[in-house]
Amino acid sequence: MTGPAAVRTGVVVVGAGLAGWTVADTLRTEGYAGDVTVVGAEEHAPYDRPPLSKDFLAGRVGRPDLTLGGGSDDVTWRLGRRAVALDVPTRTVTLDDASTVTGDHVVLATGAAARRLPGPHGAVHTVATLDDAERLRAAVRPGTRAVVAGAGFLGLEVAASLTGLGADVTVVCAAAGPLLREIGPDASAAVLRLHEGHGVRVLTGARVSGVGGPRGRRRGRTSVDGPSGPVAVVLEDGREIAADLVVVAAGADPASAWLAGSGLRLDGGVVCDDAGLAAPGVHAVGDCAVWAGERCSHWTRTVRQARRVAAVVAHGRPPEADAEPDYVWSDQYDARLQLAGSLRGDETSEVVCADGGLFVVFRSGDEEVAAFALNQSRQLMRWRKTHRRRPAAERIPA
Amino acid sequence: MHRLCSLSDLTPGEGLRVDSVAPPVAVFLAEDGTVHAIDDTCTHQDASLAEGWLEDGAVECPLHESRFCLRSGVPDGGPARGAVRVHRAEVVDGEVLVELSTAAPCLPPGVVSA
Repeated sequence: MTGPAAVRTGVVVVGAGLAGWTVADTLRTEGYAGDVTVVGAEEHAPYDRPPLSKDFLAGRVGRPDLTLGGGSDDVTWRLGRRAVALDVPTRTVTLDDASTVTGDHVVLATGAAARRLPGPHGAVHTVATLDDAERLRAAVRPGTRAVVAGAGFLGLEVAASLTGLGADVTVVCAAAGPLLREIGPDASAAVLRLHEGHGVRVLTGARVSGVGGPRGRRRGRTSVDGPSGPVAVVLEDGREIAADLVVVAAGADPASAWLAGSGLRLDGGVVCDDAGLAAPGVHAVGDCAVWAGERCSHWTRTVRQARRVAAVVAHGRPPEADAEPDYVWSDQYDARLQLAGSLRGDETSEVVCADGGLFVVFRSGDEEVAAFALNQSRQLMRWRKTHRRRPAAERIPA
Repeated sequence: MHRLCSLSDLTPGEGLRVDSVAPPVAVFLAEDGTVHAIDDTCTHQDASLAEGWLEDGAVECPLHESRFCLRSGVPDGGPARGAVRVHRAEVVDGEVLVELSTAAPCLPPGVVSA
């Protein structure tokens, strides 16, 4: 075989996670007939991430169950290859084996990288990838003392899953309550009670500043057989918590640094207009992208963005604007949390019902802009139906 | 035939999960007055379709928005690939009766038929 070659193709998708896979899948279902090449840094076939902190971590589903499946046969997958540069005028992507791929369209979907904390090898975990989740699952036994740094959706799901595995869990929450900014004080208090009711200690108004303690014997990049030894999790206020492992669930930074020097504007991700366009012939979707000043890491919005961009590329014109409110759900223990819409922080809130759960409606002036449900799926579904702003006939097909 | 519920238990445009059969069944009263019964569990992940968004003869799973046709069970527009089982439903004297499908249910990973 000759060395790495320059390949010309119709669409180049950089990133083979949910966003990249959805772009490729939608291109084909929309009838796009040109070549489609997807480049992905991870070696695994594209997989769905939300179960990593829930059913997968809990041991209820396995690797094959996560694979994003079906269709997409007529797509070239370059997995285990990282993109290192983009030339915008020629829409040429350079990969880490020095080969290049050029497209009529480039869609950037490189996602985000979990923030990390330095600490003894083996004891500090993140839950961003399949490999991360397998490593964490292997490190937990009944009685394992786990500290989760971060009380967003991911941290709370991890806390619930680890509790289910018998771990002794402490959550370190920077805000005055878990998910306070996302769901408001009433809902945050209910979520706090939910976790405390399962024996989780939640330290609010606290941040982890570092992890110290005896270093385990280094075993390289592969999974260790178990904890490397007790560690001390140090908080900014000086308190120390003894632990066997730490899970960092403190957000993720967009994986857009590789685009430095490409000429694309980078500001908390790839800066795009309200339809994901970053430059002529270049779109960005998902965790690496900022659409009209906003970056959202939730599954539903990522899929909508990816489908919308694929429809634009396939048909050469945008579909009707999608004005449906955001939607995110989170399963913690046996509880389902759901949030429709999003809060800026200046809304008024009204607890509509609290029997057997919680349903809160948020208003900006007189307009209902968001709703939160804890075990009130039916009410939340009704709210979403009532507050949809586009007719069903203009739904973007899969 | 199994009696699942009374017609008066149903809200137009919404579903009702019935646990007296395994796997559970979702009964829907569509806006046009027709009654439909399908397996309640989404074929993609463990979610109750009775809590889903019912519209235009299909129900959308509350988790990932796979839309299942109430007549055929075939999914469209989401990550689900398997069709959900459809059961023949009839309303007799205000009671919803169903003839349960004899096909094997298409359950998602991590869920076993009780």
